[in-house]
Amino acid sequence: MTSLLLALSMAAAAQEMRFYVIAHSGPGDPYWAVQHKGAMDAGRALNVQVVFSAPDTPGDLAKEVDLLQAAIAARADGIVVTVPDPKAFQEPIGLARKKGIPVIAFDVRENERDPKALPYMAYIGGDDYRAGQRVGQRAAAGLPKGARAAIATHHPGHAGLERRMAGIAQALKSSLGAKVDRLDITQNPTKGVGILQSHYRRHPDTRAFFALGPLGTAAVGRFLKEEGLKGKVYFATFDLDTLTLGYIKEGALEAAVDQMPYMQAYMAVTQLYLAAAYALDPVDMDTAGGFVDLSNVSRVEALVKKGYR
Amino acid sequence: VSLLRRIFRRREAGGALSLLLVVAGFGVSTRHFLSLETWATILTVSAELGIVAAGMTILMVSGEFDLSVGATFALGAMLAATLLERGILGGPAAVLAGLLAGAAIGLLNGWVTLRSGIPSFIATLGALMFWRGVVLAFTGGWPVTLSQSPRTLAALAGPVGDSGLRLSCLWWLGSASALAFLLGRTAFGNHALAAGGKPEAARALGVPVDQVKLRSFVLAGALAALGGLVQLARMESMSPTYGTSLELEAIAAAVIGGTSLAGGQGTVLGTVLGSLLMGVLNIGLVLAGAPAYWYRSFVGVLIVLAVVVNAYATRALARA
Repeated sequence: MTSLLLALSMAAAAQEMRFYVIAHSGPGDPYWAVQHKGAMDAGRALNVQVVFSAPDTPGDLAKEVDLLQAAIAARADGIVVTVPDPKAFQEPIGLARKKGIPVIAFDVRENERDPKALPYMAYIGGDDYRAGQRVGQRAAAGLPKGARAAIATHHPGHAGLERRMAGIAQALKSSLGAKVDRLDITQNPTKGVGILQSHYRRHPDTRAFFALGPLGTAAVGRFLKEEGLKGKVYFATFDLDTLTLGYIKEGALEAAVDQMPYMQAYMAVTQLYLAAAYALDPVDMDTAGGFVDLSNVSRVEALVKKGYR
Repeated sequence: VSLLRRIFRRREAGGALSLLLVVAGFGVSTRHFLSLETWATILTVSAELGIVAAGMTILMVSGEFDLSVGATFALGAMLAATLLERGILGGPAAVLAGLLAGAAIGLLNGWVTLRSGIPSFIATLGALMFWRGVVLAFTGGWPVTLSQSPRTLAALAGPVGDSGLRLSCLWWLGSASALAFLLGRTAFGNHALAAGGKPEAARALGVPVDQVKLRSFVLAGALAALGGLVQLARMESMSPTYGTSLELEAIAAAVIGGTSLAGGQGTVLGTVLGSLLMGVLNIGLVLAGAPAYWYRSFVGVLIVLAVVVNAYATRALARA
């Protein structure tokens, strides 16, 4: 009887818990739609209230900070937040922690961890540099020593993509002594294919191509198909969309790394719950470890359609 | 001598000279540049921009801009891709729907601009944001990939044998020729030049200025959509972000070719040369091994140099 009462009272307490998930982009973006589902599913599974909010304009940091302030003012039981800019988030995250609100960062954070400046308790997300290294190491297994590789970026200067690129280059150079070229293929796929063709004409000894996200995947995949290089040179990329999965099934693309956005939001909410209910300290999780290749592409494709990947 | 003089007197002479200098520069300095494959790549890269820029030229000559061509490019192609992929329409009808959507956006741009009297720069900047937003919201940010490519699309951008050339070049050639004829040889063309140059004087002479501008907006919209459809045909897939910042490249291609930003002056042939120059720069720099981080800077510097050469040459030739 007492245990039943206890269970009931705990359920009631849990029901009152309210966690805020704040991102710089909302469910209109396919990647964020998956994050959103992860957060909401975790809330349902744990019987806690989850409020997901994001600025109307993706990447509007001032608005994201406003949303964070609002969550603090609403006395959230815990906050999950992206940190796309360390300076702008210093004050509100500091304030939340001073008020005793647990904060977990997810998806994106500052380059150099400084817990004094940004005192969130844990980070759950893809580590772009390590993800790049994993891709590079996987590619290196099938490439000869000193091979030539090209990394195609569709957005030079994007911090996350730069880290992915640096990770790939580091792994290829340290394990193979590879020659690594970097290419700006722009976001125009016709131009991108043309640039890749010209680069390949200049360096026909290129044995591997890497793209850094779906926009780059579209151009590199098309280039390999048109030049008849499908399956003859190595190709790996990051993140998933329908086109990426199609290239994997065709055998043009060996593998794509998934940052597992569903897991990011799901685990962040879960860790907040564990912290609030059982005083379990949140810990960092690197989610950019999931490879999608020929062995699991059909299964993943079904899960993309359902909104889990 | 008189033939040479006639060539030099043409408005396109400066743009042709810039192009020649750049081609000569890459030809001397860069291996593989003067090869058939490279030029097939250059023509393919230039074709989509060239189609959009040709429409933009007519509009700029008539004294207006359309900053929404990149969004129209995406919307027209995305509409066709969606209709095809959901099996609602067949190839020709889907392509036609895409073109009509582009023309309709052009019509709306023209109507808003002319009816309200606000600058087309602002009216179409709003349209750029609005239509891009529509495409993003409609697709949820996902690309639409064609599971099979109908023959109509192959006719837009399919390969020409093993030459590396693509049919998109023919569409570029065709649309540019038609617009060159329209601008250079018809009453509409004369009216456009008059409407863009001295609108008040043109009105006084009975030129239907607003009607000419409205038609130019429709042309620019339809050609922007055609550019997008060609890209869809090439990639067999359409991302809602395709065509981003195409408007500035199209304006740059027109200006490199001698079209005036102030309206009233310009030729389609000049814009063809300008678009080709953009393709040459994009591909030539890669063949020359330009480092990735400097790539865009180099393209930028060379565009400005090309216009400077054009301006000097035009002045010098006018005096000669």
